[in-house]
Amino acid sequence: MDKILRNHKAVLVFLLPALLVYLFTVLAPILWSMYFSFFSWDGVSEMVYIGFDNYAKMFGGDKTFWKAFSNNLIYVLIIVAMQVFLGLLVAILLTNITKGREIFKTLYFAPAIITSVAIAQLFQNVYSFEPVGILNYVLQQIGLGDWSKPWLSDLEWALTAVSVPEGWRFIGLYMIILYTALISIPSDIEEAARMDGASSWNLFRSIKMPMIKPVLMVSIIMATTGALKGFDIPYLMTNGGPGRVTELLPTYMYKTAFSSLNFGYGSAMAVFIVIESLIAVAFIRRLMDSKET
Amino acid sequence: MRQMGFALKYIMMTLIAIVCIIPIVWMVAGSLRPYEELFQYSSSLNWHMFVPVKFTWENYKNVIFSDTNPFLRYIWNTVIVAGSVTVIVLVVSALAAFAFAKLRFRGKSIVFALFMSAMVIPGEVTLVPNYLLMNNFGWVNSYASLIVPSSLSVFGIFLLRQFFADIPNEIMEAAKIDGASVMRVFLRIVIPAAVPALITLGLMTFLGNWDSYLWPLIVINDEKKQMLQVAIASFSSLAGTDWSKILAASTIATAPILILFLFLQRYYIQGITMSGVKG
Repeated sequence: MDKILRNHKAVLVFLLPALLVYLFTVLAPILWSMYFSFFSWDGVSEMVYIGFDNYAKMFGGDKTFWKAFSNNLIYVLIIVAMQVFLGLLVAILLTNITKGREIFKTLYFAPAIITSVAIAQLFQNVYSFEPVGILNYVLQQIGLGDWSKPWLSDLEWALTAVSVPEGWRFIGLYMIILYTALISIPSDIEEAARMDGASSWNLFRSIKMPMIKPVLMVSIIMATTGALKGFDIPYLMTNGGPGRVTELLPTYMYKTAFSSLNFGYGSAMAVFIVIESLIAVAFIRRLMDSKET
Repeated sequence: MRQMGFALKYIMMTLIAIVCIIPIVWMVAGSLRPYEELFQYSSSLNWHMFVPVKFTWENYKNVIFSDTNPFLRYIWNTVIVAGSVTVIVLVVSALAAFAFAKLRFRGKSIVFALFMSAMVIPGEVTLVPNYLLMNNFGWVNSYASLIVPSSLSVFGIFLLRQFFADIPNEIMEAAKIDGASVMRVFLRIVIPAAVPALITLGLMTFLGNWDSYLWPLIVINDEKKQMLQVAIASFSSLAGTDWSKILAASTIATAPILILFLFLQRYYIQGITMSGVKG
C-alpha cells in the first residue's frame, strides 16, 4: 500500500486538475492584480506604467476611497455583532430549552437560504417610507411614529440600514456553528462544575467560553472576511448612495474598474482589499489568542 | 420563578423566530396578492397582513410570461451553469482531497496551506484579471466564463479531506491485496463511503452558484444568456414600485433552492458545522 500511495504519477493525476484551476483562477489573478495596479489602463488603449501613482492617489487624495473604507469598517462591525454575538446568544438559548430545538433551528436558519437579490428587494420593501413599508408601519403602531423615515435615503441611517439585512441573513448560520460547539462540551464537565456550586453565568464564562473559543474565533474570522467583501446587498439596495454614504470598498472598486474602466486603479483597490483581509485575520487571531490564556 | 424563566426563554426565542421569518412570509404572501391589496392591508394590524384576501397568480403570470423577460430561459440558464459547476467542483475537489488525505508526497502541507489560504482571500481581487482572461479567451457572454472560474472550491477540498481522512487505511489495504490501482481504490472504496459529504458539498455549491450575482453581471451582457439573479435585479429596477411583481420575482429567485434545502437540510447543516471546525 505504501508504494501505491507514494506513486508520483498518481499524485499528479489527483492533484493536477485542482492545481491548474488554482493557478489560473486564484494565484495568477492575484499576481496580475498586483501587476496591473502599477499601470494606468482603460482595457483598450496602451497600458502606461505609472509606478506607485495609483497607490499614492488611493492613500492621498481620494476622499471616496477613505469614505468607502470607513463605511466598510462600520459595515463589518454591525455584521459581526449581529452574526456572531446574536448567533451566540441564540445558540445559548437553544441549548437551554428541551422542546422544539429542531423547529427553532430551521426557522432561524431559513434567511440564509434566501438569495441576495431577493433579500435586497425584500428589505427595500421593508424600509420603504412611501408607500409605507413594514418597519415604518410597526413604528407607527407602537407609538414611535416620529422615528419613521425613508431609511435608505437617510444620510445618518442608510449605512446601518444596508448592513442589517446581511447581518440578519446569517445569524442562523453562526448559531448552528456555535450551537454545535456548545453541545459538544462533555456533560460531565458541566455537572462537576454545578456540583461545586458554579452559577450559570460562571459556568458559561469560565468553562463554556474557553472551550468554544476556537470555534468562536473561526466564526469571527468568517463573518469579518465575509463582510469585507460585501457587495451584492449594498450595491442592489442603494448602489452606494445617497451620495457615497453606503459606498463600500468592493462596490467602489467594481465601479472604478467596470464602470469608469479604470482597471489599474481598480486593481490597486483589489490589492488593498486582500491586504486588509489578511491584516484583519491576523489581528483577530492575535486578539483572541492573547485574551485570558 | 423557574417556570417564569422557562416561559421567558420561549418568548424570547419565538420573538427572534418571528423576526427571522416575517420578511419571508411577507414576501411570499405579497407575491400572491393584487397590487392594491399589498398596501391596503399593511396599514392595519390583522391577519390579512400575511394572508392575502384575494389570492392571485397574476403576478407570477406577468413575471414569467412577460415578453421582455424570458424568465423560464433564465431559470434554465442558471440550472445549466450551477449544475455544471457543481459536477466539476465535486470531481476536482474529490480528487484533490484524496491526494491530501491519503497520498504521500513531498511538500504536501505547503501545497495544502496554499490552497487553504485562498479561503480568506476575497474574490474581488480576481475580478479584473479573470474578466480580462475571459475576454482574451473570447469567452465573454458564454457559459464557459461562468463555469470555468467557479470550478475550484477550496472549502470543498477542505471538507472532503476531513471526510476521506476518517476512512481507515485497512480497508484500502484489503483492496491492495486484490491488486487494485489507486484510482480503483478511490472509485470503489473512497467515493462510495463519502456520499453524504459529496451531497453536502454538491448542495452548497449549487446554492452558492444559484445565488451568484456579481460575476454574471460582469461577464454576461447578452440578454438571452443572463443568469436568474441578475435578470431579476434588472427586472425589478425597471418595475419601479410595482412591488407585487417584484415580490413574485424574488419568490421565484428563491423558491427552488428553498425547496431543495428543506429536503436536504440535514446535509447542508452538516457542511456548515464542518466549516466551524476549520480553525
